[in-house]
Amino acid sequence: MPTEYELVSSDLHYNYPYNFELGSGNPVVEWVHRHREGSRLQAGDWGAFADPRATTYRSYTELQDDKETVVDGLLREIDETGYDERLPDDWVRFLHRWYAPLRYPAHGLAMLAAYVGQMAPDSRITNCASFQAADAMRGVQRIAYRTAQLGAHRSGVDTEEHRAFWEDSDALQPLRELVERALVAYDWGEALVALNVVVKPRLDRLVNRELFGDLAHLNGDPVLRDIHFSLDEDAMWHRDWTETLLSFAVRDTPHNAGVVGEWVDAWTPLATEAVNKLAGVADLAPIALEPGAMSQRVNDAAEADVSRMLARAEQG
Amino acid sequence: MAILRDEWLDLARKVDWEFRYVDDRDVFPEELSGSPWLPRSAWKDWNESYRTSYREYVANQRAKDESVRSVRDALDKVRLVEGLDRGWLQLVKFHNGAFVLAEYAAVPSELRMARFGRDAAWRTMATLGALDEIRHTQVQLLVGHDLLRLDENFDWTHRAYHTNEWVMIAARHLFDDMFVAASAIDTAIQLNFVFETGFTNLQFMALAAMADKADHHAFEKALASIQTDESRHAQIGHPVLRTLIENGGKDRAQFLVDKMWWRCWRAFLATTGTAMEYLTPLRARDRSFKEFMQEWVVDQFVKNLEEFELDRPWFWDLFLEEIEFAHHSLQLGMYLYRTTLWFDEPVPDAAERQWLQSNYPHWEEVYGPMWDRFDRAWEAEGEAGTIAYALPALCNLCQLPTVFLRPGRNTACTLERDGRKYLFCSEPCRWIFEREPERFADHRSVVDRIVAGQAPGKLIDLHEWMGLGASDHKGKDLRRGLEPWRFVPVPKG
Repeated sequence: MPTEYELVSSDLHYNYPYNFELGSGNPVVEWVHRHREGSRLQAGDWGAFADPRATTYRSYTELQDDKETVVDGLLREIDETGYDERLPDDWVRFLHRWYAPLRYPAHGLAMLAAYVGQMAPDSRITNCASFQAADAMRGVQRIAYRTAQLGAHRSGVDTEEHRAFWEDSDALQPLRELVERALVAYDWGEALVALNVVVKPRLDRLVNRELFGDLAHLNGDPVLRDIHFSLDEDAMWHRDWTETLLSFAVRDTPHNAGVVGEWVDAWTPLATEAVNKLAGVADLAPIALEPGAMSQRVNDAAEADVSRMLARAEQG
Repeated sequence: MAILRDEWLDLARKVDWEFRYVDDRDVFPEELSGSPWLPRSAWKDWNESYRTSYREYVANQRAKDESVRSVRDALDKVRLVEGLDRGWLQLVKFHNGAFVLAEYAAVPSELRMARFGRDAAWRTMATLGALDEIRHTQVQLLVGHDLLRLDENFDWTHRAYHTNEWVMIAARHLFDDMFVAASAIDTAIQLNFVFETGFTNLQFMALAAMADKADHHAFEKALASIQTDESRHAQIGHPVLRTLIENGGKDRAQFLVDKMWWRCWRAFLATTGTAMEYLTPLRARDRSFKEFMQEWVVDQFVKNLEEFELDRPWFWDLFLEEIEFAHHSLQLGMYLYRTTLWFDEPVPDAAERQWLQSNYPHWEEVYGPMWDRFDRAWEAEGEAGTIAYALPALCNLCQLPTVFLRPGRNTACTLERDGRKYLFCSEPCRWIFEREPERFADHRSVVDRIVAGQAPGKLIDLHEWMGLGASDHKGKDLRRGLEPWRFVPVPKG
């Protein structure tokens, strides 16, 4: 008896492979064939992949509603205990400068997940990427909420400045370059690896656990760490389904190990630099943390993820 | 004090930035983002009328799903489902096969807009649209699976789109054109504006009303719940259309609307029209298809056109004439070619004929004699005299039999291009082809494939090719059931 997950998520793309009804003379079809069927990442049967969390629409909305209820509670705590009035002014300024602008790259991550989803060769992968794109929206909206909430307690916060901070701050430019270049990595496999193996394992840790996790806590803003703990739960699932998918892909077609490895090698330098530069702002917080140690932790953890995935692929 | 959604949502919706390391044209290639390729500034006022946040979305949608599930659990008792009208069950089989994987096909298309739409607010709404379509797929797959115990052909809920059954080829042709193989702009106008704002009300709300009367409450609840999502993501169409029209794209907008209006009309008369008036038990028929079309589809569409100062499509008069006849004409073909369907079709009985005549004053005159002939053929020759042995002529655009407008008035027309002759059921179908020939010219109808040797010519082999191998998977007469001659060899005992 198939599980509900199997019943509702299996083999739903009618046009894969090479099965569009209007298959010729159409630039969209040509694009899909080039970057999906023509990807360097190949497998015999992508349908053999299963999301380790067996996420269905129903289970997704239940799970995320519960997580959002937790965050609502945290935001209510902020409102009802005068939390924002007690936050140090210079920490609030730090957030205005370095936290609020992150809604831009966070949206970039949503766009990247949407690309992976539309190009994925199997419906189970498309579903994972779709839910991930929605999770990314969640992140953008929580950063925006917190920004507006803080702004309500501090006069003179100009939200128009956030975009200028994103576009002009030295500390953010390597991240910006990383996101922008990832947006034009159109081989669907490369887009997946760049996003979920190189960029997010770094950025999620840096934002959720370090800068707006431990650093926030250190600076008298523990609730922000709690909010980002909740967002980080989403990130852990993103790593998890990706690791399951890629280790399956490598077992299925060992050549994929080399392909994934090449992509990791191609994207890691810029991603590492993005982490190093952004971690640098930890030094600017009212109570600072050492940026070098922070970026080391983040980059090492991301690399360990890759090793673990490849080891898992070998074990079978 | 908690802050209101409108105090923070704009910070999250409007998150476009200038690219420095790559070019706009590289991030938003015209073939995926859509034509005309407008400057960034043209899109900045893209706004949805009905706003929602992620937090509201997951809470509301969870509640909706719980509600649908609880009805399904309560009413899924075998005795309740077994009591369903047999004609109604065919309608559900038809609907499931024709629509469920099309819902899923819309997921990558919504994601196309979520990545290649030119404004962040558009992209955000499209992301929720993608999730909606996942929901619609999954709910209906479960409903279809529940019904498997009654009839094996409910597996067509999943397999229809994977077959070359001729209705499914028509469906894929339509949906590829509408959104699966379309840019973000074209998808917003063709799928969200024309199809979803215009027609899906008919498929989901009208069917839900009839499902209620047919006592199929789990299906009713699912359909009605699905349609509540539709208005949220269908709204994507309006601001895209507005932006296009305000930036010199009115001709393109008019073309997309005209083209897709006609294509949706063809699709809906073929599925909803025939099913409403030939498969739905009389007691469940709320109104005629014609009345539904007029109240729910036509009036709303005309209002939408006026809002955008678009003209009525050039074929409007033909369309209005077709409402009276087209689906009845097609139904004759559906009955005659029923072995090529995965659901059964009836000969309307006396009471049903009376209903049809009272709603369509020409029905008896035009269609009565044809149905009389079927009845006589059954008596004289059995099933063998009432089915077709070869495929009819098919339109090279909509892929339907060229039976329009009605017996005695055929609107078929042809075109020759690069040494190949194309057949169309009507001028609008030919016009659509002529406007974008490179998009359609290489496609082969089932008939073309038979002629080219890509599909078998004998109907008995063609069934296999269409995925209708076993004899009881093919459509039969709803009331008369299977005739012994279908079994080869005849079973013993």
